[in-house]
Amino acid sequence: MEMQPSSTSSFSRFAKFLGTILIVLLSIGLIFNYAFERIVIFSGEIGGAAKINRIIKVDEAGEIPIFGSSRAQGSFVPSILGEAYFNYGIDGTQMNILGFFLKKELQKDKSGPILINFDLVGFRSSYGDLGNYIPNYPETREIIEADAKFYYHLPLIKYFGKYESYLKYRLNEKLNITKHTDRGGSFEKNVLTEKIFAEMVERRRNTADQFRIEVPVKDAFEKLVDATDRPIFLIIAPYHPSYFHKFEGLAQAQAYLAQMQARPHVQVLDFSQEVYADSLFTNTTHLNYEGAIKFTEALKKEMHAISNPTP
Amino acid sequence: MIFNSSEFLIFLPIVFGLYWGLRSAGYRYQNILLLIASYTFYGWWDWRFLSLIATSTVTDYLLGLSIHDESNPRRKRLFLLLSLILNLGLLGFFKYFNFFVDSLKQALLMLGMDVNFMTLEIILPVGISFYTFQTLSYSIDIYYGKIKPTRDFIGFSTFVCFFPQLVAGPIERASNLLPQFLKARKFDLDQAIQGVSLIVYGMFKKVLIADRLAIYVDSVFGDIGNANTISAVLGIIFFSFQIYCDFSGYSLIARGTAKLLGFELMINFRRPYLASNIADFWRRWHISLSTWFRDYIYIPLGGKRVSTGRNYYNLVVVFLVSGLWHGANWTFVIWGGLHGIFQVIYVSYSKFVPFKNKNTWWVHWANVLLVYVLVCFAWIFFRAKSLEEALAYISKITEGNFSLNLTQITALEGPVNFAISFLAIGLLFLSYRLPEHLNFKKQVHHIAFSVIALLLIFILGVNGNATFIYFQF
Repeated sequence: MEMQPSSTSSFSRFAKFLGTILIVLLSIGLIFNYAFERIVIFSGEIGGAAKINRIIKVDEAGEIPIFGSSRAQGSFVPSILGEAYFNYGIDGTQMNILGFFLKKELQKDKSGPILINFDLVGFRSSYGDLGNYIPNYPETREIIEADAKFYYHLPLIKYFGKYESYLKYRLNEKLNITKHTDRGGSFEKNVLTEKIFAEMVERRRNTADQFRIEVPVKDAFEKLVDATDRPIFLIIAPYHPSYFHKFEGLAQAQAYLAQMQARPHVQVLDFSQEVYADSLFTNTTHLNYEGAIKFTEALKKEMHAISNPTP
Repeated sequence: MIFNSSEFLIFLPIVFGLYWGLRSAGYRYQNILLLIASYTFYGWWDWRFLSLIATSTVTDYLLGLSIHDESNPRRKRLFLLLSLILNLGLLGFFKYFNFFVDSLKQALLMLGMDVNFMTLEIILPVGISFYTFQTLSYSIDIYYGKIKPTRDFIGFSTFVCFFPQLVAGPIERASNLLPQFLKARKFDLDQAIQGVSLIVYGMFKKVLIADRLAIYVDSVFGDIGNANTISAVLGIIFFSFQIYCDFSGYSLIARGTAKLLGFELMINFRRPYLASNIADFWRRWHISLSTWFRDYIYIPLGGKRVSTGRNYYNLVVVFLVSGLWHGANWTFVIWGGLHGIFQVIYVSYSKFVPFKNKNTWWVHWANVLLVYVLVCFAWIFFRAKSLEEALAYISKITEGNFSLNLTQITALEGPVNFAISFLAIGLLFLSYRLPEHLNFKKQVHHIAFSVIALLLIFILGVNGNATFIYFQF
């Protein structure tokens, strides 16, 4: 390249150079984002962002939702329960996000049942991966609060570090290599080696956990439950027995569930103590696909028994 | 402050604007600004350690003048010795104190003596190994009459703490960098544009390749028990590219940033995994450190102008010291020792089988592969936290478990991460098709390169603000 004199024109040419990069980048970014959102993020059904988009924008009268965390996402097989079911479980979330989903669901003009997977850790707050809330709808802004970054509004940059997880969900859904997808549910197909699972069990046996209540989260949840007469099933999916080795507050959790059961439209179905074989787990708190099938079939039977009580 | 942080994205344009805004005031004012900027850059991490840089700067400045002005050879040598003691003393205390105490304790324990020595809670100041070597070379070069000391204190201070290369090099020689601080700099459009491309390429290597590969590598090394032969082999291959892209990425950003300010730093890497012999590898890897050891340890020890045995000894010593420079751990010493042994074997082999210039292509690539395998083997010790971990890792590689369990092969990080890791390495080799040092002929090529690289960074990069590996050294 020819040498340029050190003058104001050099600086303006440099600024022009940087400006060109920025404009080209932003233009490509806008097009790319538009295509990515339509082809990958919102066309899928198992990603958190897709589920939030669905609960806000889709209103199917007959749909029966299943809410909860990753334990909901990986344990409830909707197609076994029936054609109307959809799994809204999101990895890494806690009761505060479940409350968000419940609130959106109750705003719809529906009368069908609602399935909620209740985790024994109780009422805690966690919104999981920020990717679930990007692009941040005005409705979800309050959830991520201070963690909302300015660059979430910039094309291309707003998904920086997240493209992969969106793509992962979409590929899992399309290819079903390591996971099986079923109406929002995503189920681990890989079976761990006995050695790896034994190590997980050992780690779990040495890890303390407890039932805990964050009062505002609990209050908000109960307020929503009390505001509807739609049937609500509070379901506790199975845990590996090692989970309870150092778990504190099981009695309080059960007492709380009994209190919920006292509500006429709430039915508690506790599978937490059901003993499932090690080969049915992907770790000590999550079932794999085979485990999910076994659990969902048992759940279906139980729900059927409740709906059609024998005289 | 690290290059791949949002703070630096704000810091650099501010410094750039102020720096060139001062061009009419003269280079001395620009140096003052760079000094303040460099101290801010370093102090962002921990301002308390600025005193170490300041101490090193003041003493080496004064000792440099004393060495030069002193006519009595004994006193001249004494001043040099003082500089060595001060610089190496600080480095030794902060980096090696606990290591030597622990090693002594272990040695005595093996002799049946259980002595309880005191160890200290010492934080290793970032970049201490780099700026110490830079200031050391200044004093040594003055002593041997290779350069003259500067009397411009601000210029010298800025040379010591120049922020683009302060914490992880390249370790500049005073003869190259210092004169650049002592004269007016002109804004050169081509230099600045190339600087931008180098910064983008550095980020590409760091954020897209190194940080991506780190996910797999950390998972395998974090749970060696669950690895099998395939994942262990892949783990170390990925680490070889991770460390290369992490460190060479840093060097590129350093060079690019310096270019924006009108400075030229030395090239630190030249595609090292394409080396066809182990000596060639060290001419391509961390060149500023390799040449430092060559000039200040290997040659003073006699280099190869000594008996064969002594030459081998010199080689091993240089690499052992190089290993220790990297970290206060026996794993680094073994890493250095292995490279020393590789060098000795190569030198002996070359004497019996003279190098032929007309190697066939497959012999050339077989050599490249052999060097790569040897380098990777040594990397195991470099990456492992302890000797036990390194040996456990090697036993995983040699156990011959080629089970195709997807969970093991993907190191629990999933097939997408696995696939992108390979893609990242592929992109690195694809980038080798670009002109070396990104000397594009046209501006539009720089624009195209920057746009494509940034797109790839944003789409495939890891948003983790991971620190650079070499900061720990």
